[in-house]
Amino acid sequence: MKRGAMNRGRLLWEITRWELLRWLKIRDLIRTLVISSVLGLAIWGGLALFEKSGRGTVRIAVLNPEALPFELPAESDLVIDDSGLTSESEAFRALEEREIEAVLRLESADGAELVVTREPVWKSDLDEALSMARRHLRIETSGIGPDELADLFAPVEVAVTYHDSANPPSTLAEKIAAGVLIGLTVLGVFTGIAFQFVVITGEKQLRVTEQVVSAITPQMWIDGKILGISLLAFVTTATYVLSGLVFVLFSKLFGKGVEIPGGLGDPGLWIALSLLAIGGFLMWNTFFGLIAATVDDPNTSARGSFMLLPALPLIIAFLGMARPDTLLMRILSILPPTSPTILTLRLVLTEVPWWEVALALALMAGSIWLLRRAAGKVFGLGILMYGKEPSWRETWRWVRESQ
Amino acid sequence: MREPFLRVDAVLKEFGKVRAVDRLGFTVRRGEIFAFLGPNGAGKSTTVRMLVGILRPDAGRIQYHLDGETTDRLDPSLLGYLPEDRGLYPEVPLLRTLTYMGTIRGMERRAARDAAMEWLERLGLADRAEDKLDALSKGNQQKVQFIAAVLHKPAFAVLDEPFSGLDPLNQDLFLDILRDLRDGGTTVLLSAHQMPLVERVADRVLLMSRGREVLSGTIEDIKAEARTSSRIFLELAGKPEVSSFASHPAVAHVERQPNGELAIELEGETALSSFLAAVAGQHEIRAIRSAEVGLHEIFVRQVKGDLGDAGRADQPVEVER
Repeated sequence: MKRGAMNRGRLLWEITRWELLRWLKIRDLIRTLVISSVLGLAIWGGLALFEKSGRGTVRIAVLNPEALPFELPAESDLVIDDSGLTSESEAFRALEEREIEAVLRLESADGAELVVTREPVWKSDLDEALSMARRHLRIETSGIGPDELADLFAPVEVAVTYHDSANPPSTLAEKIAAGVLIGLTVLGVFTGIAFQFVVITGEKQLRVTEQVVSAITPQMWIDGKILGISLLAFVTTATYVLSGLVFVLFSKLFGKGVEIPGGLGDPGLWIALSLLAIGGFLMWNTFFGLIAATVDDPNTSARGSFMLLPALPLIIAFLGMARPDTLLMRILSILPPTSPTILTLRLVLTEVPWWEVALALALMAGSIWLLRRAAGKVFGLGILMYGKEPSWRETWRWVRESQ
Repeated sequence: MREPFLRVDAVLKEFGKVRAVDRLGFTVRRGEIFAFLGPNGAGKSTTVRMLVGILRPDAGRIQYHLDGETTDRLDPSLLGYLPEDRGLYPEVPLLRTLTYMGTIRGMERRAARDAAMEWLERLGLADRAEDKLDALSKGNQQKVQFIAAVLHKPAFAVLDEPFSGLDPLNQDLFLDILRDLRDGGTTVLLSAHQMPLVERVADRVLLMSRGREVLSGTIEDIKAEARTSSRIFLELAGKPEVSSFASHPAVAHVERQPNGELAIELEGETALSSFLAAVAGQHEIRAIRSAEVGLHEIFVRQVKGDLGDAGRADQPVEVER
């Protein structure tokens, strides 16, 4: 008996759209992008400006130069004044009139006084030049030749050769990139599950459920929630990625820039990373849809502690970063729920056979499907249960009945 | 007589040891306003939840008849439901919420938006369409919740306590709306406590207590079945004892009102003039007025009768196994 039986696909899209737009704050996302741009500009531009303004010749007058003859390196901004300021009074007059930056009065090879009008940020250059001069003086008086001295302090050189040249070790830049990417994935997961938890427990507490459940099936409702919230997590994470890119762009524009590993330019890698991230969001949001439906009061329920679970794969990923190709890491990168983070790590740090990626994605898709069915059943019963939380045994019974 | 739209046959629902609905049976006819009455815990909301498919009966059958077909579950696009537990999305503007509620009932987004605006205008909330729900008064929130239940023009509207939270003016407005819905072809089932309102709008009523039917039929049928007739209020000199009237064979029920009057309900067949003559012989009658016994009195008396002197209206039935 159907009058306006709605296409299931369109109904699912309406629910997904509702869940997404209910929480998606475009203004906040734009604000995030603007803030990251301003920060990038401020940090990298500021650093460049500071470096530029700090540069320039610093002239110093040296009194009693015979006490410790020294030379400044050619690349140094320091210059010894050669305008004939030999007397103390002339030197201080020149200092007062800002003709020079400092007066260095050498007492002996072991001590000197530096008179300045502002903080000498260049002092390390001067210290090094004086120390060098003093060292040479001491060597000359001790009778040890410079070659002998160098030989005395020469370190043992250990050459490192990698046996498997096709799979070289990760660079620091690759490790940082991997860390940032799995951090972003986990951030997206946490964003999603936090919304999922708040949305479902909130609807229970607001008593929205009955009116909605009389219109759509719980399975349809939870499907829409999973898709909508996962889409929200993806859009939020993509905004963070974009913000990061803006930051990197500014670093390139104003300085040497943040080093980006060459492997990250591979579009295939980004497709795999995106699929893994989306799969991770879907899987965790499905699981938390199930958990949240069993929570009566989020303020008192101990089940909120389940929200720490997605941190475990992150910890494992960081622990395994030094050795991403061990058997354990390979297994964990294939099996859900660790695959979204561990496989992301391995894809950036090492060579991963295509079949491992395909297998990980297939297993994740299968587990999402099974979890979704269980979540639908638990959600259908849990969201209408007020005043108490079902026991785990009861919840498990609901899941088994769903099969 | 209108054809049946909904048949409920010996429906039973238990929660643990508590029997919330006990082999309840009734029929709702197409295009009528059918009202559930009953004290708290009578099983009204449980019955309503079974009708809209949120709960499944443990036994018995619920059948809908529409367009020559019979089914145990109505398509959501044909059903409108105002639950007893109110709640919508407080952080979302009204129009967006109502549009969404229309789309999940099968409407196109634009049609749902237009219908929502029409209803908001009718209920005096058009200028609040972009406001968030939690910015509205409780009564206005109630109106929005009601709109969410009916904006898709359902064939069957199930309204649990539709008058709660409304002032008298809005109660009258809702009565008009319910009549309009019925006249527009919607079958309405409502569950309510406000007897005078139900009396004004319902075509038929069903009085429940402890999950069972106590009385059912049209208001006139129920009054006849309850064997009540007119009630008189007497102001007598000297304030005689109530007990001296209670034992009179013509008196069905008597009680003293706060203003000192005696409210006397007479047995159905009693001639009023002979009763008054008998009273006048013994007491000085200072004032007299009459009133019909309402649904409220019938409700209270029937429920008390069902529960017995020691019974409590909200006490559920415990199942013996």
